[in-house]
Amino acid sequence: MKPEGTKRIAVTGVGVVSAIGLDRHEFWDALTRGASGISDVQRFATAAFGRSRGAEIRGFDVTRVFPGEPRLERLGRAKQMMLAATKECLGSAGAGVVDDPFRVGVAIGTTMGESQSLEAVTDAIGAGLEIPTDAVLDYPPSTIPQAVAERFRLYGPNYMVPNACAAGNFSIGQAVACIQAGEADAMVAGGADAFSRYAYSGFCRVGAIAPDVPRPFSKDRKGMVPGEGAAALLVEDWDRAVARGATIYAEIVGYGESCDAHHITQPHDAGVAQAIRRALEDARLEPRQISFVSVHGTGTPTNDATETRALRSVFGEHLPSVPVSAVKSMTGHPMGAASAIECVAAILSMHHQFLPPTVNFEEPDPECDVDCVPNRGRPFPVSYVLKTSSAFGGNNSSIVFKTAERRA
Amino acid sequence: MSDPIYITGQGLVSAYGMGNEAFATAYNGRVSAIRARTLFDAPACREERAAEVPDFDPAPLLGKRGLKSCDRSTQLLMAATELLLGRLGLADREARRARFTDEEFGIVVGTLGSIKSIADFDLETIRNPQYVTPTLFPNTVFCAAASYVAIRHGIKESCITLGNDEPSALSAFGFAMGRLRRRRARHIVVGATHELSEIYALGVQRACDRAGRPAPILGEGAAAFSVEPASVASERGAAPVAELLACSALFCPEKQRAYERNLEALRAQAGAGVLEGVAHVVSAEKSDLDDLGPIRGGARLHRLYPRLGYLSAAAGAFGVAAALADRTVEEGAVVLVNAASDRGNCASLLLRKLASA
Repeated sequence: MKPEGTKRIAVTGVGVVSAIGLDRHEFWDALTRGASGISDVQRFATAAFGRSRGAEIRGFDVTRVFPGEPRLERLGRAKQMMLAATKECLGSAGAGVVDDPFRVGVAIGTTMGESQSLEAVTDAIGAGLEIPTDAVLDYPPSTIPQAVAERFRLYGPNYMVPNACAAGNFSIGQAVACIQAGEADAMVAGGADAFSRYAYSGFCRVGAIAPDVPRPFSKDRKGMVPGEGAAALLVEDWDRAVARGATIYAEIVGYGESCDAHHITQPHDAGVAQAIRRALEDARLEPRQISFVSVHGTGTPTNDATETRALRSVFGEHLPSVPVSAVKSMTGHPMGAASAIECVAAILSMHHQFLPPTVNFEEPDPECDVDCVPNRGRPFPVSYVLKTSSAFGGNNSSIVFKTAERRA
Repeated sequence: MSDPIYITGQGLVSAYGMGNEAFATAYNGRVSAIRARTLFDAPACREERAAEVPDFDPAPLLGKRGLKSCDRSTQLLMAATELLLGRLGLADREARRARFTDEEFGIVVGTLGSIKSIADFDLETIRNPQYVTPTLFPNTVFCAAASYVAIRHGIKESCITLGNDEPSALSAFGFAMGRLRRRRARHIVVGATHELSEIYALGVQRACDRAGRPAPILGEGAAAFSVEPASVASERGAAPVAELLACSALFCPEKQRAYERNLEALRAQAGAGVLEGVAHVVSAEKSDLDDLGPIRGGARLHRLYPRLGYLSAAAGAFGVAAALADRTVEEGAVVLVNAASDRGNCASLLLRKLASA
């Protein structure tokens, strides 16, 4: 539990690039409609994989977001998306965010980093060609927060937190820690991942990809659908946000992490539950005070059953009355960007007092006895949202957001 | 009064060989670990020397089970952590539980992962997509090394990976310090790992060609440190080898300005006069000490590069290891360890050496 006197943390900006919307307005509109970002993969041939669906982002063009900056076209796709999300995030945060550049930092998570640049390297190797220098320089995951810092002149703490599919949550947790330790006044935090051939291949081989669409919590669920995207939150010292008259979208009141230490790819309910308990303890909340859970909810048989067991162990008899929504049913699984994108969804759900649905739901599963807001979103009073996330390696991270009075 | 944060042990797998003794003996003997490269034959990599971990075979230390699916960077980190926890009497999980619950024991690792694992997996995807090896897939994520170590040792408090180029390991120390001060954990293994591979070397060569400079001599290795509050160390009778005083990591395209801001942050954390007492400055990199010119004062400089090569994300960890091993760094001395990347990340760690490790 955090000590008395710990700094309060506000979220004062959000930005998102996803398969269902290229900014927060499109994204929210799609979420409320239950739109799907899933289609046939175009980036590479899928015939040999036995699966063909993906959640690729269509119509994203970094030069439209940053007219007059053609050099950004040469950056990897994860960086391009992250820069676009950050631009929207900072734009939504109002004036006065960056008064001293050394007091505003960046923490970004990823699973695969600039996978498409690495794939360009291996394409060259496979073809017996010289490896492309631009791709080599573009590849390291550290280049993502560096690009954000450089473009927006944010010279504070700078972290790449590549904790796989929970990386977005982890990076937000790190941003909170930096502000509470006095190392920064504000941090751009989030996640980014580009659509990856080798991730597709690997997930196919471990039998985790659905043949058509993801159906989180549905009895006939057969897997997730890989995707891509980026999201950014401006996480800020509450008092500073108030002082500069910022719109406060939400307050981060609790954060918790854990490691299953169980299996490199299989999640374990005890570890997932531990991260949730820690976040609730940090927030000084009882489970029954949570209005809504934005879950990891990939749509794989194992994940959803494990996550339900974890939620049941924390929420007990209250679980049936807590709506649980799986945004990945619409966005696909954007890997390291997933939890950051879902944090944006959670914040917007508080802002609009409306729960996004879990689409493609067909048949209840006794192993997943949750109210997953099946197929249609609904208005709902939202005070506190729990955002859970899990990742390869058994890495779990949970955040509790509180609805903030809008100060616009 | 705040509880000081101590380093209470280290485990090293370096180009000097396995273990702290091999490192300390060779380092104090001013031996260079740089030799003709043997790990791979790549004519396109014009620099033919390297600081490789010699004859690395972790099986006698770790057992063979499960090792085959772990890549070299993971194996290096697993070996370093095994050596660390073995020395501390914490390798056996049951014995450790007498001191710490699994939920109090965390790990944070600085690494950029294994580009070789990812490239090999993707090449297999291109050539035989139906036959890629599923057990090798986890190696394509950057947090694989830390996660495998957490699984092996039942580390459940948290498992974090940081990938910020050369400053990664120092960032990991800073991360651990914050976490212990906030009482999120009682003990954290701070680690770093970096492996040598042909594709990595080719990439570095291409990048250096573009920049018009010679490629560095590449090194590799892994280090793991036991980091805990003084009160916890004292409870279990662990002798500290260093006190961690302050840490700062940031991004700035101007390296000297970055160091200046880092030092301001260290001053704010550790007290106004502390930097004036810095007796030693350690850098694992080739050039960044030059940027420290105006601020290093009369401190003695230690460069790791001529002995251990370019260590990438493990650089800062070996900077700390060198400070602890170096017999010319006297007990009680305040040491500044730096690591910076050409791309703008920069980290500085301030520690007080309490004993030789």
